[in-house]
Amino acid sequence: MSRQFNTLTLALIPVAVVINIVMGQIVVVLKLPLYLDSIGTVLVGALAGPLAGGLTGALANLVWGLLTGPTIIPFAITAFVIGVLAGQFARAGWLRPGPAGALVKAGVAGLVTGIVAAVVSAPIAAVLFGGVTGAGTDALVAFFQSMGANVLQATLGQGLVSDPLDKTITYVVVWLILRAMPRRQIARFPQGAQLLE
Amino acid sequence: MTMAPTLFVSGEGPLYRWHPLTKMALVVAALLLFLVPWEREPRWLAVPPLLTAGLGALMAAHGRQPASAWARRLFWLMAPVLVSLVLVQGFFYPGGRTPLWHAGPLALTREGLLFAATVGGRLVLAVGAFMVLLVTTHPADLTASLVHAGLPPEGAYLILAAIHLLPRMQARAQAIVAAQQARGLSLEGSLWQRARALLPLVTPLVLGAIQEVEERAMALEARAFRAPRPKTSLRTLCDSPAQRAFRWGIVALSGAIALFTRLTFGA
Repeated sequence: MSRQFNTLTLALIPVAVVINIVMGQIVVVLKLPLYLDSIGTVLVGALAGPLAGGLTGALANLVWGLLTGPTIIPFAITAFVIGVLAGQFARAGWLRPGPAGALVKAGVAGLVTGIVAAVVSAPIAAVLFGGVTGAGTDALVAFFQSMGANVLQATLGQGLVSDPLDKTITYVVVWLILRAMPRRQIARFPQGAQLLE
Repeated sequence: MTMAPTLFVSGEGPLYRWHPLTKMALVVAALLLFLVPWEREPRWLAVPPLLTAGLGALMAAHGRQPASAWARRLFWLMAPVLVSLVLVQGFFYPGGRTPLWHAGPLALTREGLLFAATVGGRLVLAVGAFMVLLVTTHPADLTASLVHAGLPPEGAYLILAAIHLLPRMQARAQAIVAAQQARGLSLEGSLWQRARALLPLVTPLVLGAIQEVEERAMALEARAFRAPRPKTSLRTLCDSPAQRAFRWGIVALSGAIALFTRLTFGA
């Protein structure tokens, strides 16, 4: 625990939280049908380990909630799980920056994370929000319900349509960033040596 | 140092003097009411909106600015959710049996509307209570109260550092967008063209930010932030036995109501 939270990690986490928020805004400027609001979370998971990654995710939702309103705060649980998974995948070598072929592994790790994120988010969205978010994706919930799904299943279906693609692209972007980072800089972070091996 | 605009609006009055934990108790109490089986008795569904109106009256007693900030933010946050709830669950609720109104092949059902009212009512109440906390509490007071309650000071640092960093990072993102556009990067065009603009924007933003992390770490070390000693806070918070009693009282009351209605009328 303490090794994951050295001062460098402590300085990295707020920067990563802000990267999450700013990336979420850049995506809006580019009018892309994605969120990409967990790039910082996945990056910290890779560089500093699962707990630090999870904390970054949860904190990002909390801070975003302080700035815009509390509806996003319950999904801190999902964000925490995303960060923990990123840390574990990095530990297992799935995010190792290497030749272009390693990109596929990072993408698969993102796909798995996206599926887990959808599974974790669905009960939160179903119980607290009745399955809706007030955005266009709610049409998908209506569609799944008209096909005979209950509220939880329909919410899960909606998440499974959008989350895996979003997290796959997130992981690929993080992998490209790690590849562009100097190796000696990566090695300074608690999980850096493991990441490079 | 400039701070990102939060929901806090400065003002005066009891809510501003209350300890943040007292206002947090209101949020916990509102969340406990999620357990009440509101849909059992349609008349009960009036209770959460009435409680929300009570919060509105409380805010209104604190002047125009905090009250209108609270009401406006709550409206823009919840209106799309409520509209969506009525459209999606009113017409497509899986348990919908009793049609009230037909629109072509679709039917607005009684069960769907009850579900929408249950979810919407308790959600608006909880979000409203949370907004009371956020509008009347300076973020630094909020984190100071959490440290009082046992959060490590590192936690408070992480939250406040992020709020302070945001405006600078946003300014840097704007500079990067402008610089890349000057080099011929287009932010318009087909989906594929716009997606390709992503990397030239993300990479410099993240790499530049990470460069700065080491400087920040050294600044923290130089100020002995990790020294295992008690830290002095600039902000002082006043607490009182009456407030402590109120905190436990309101949470216990709402927990008791939730438990009683659940056991007596629950599914």
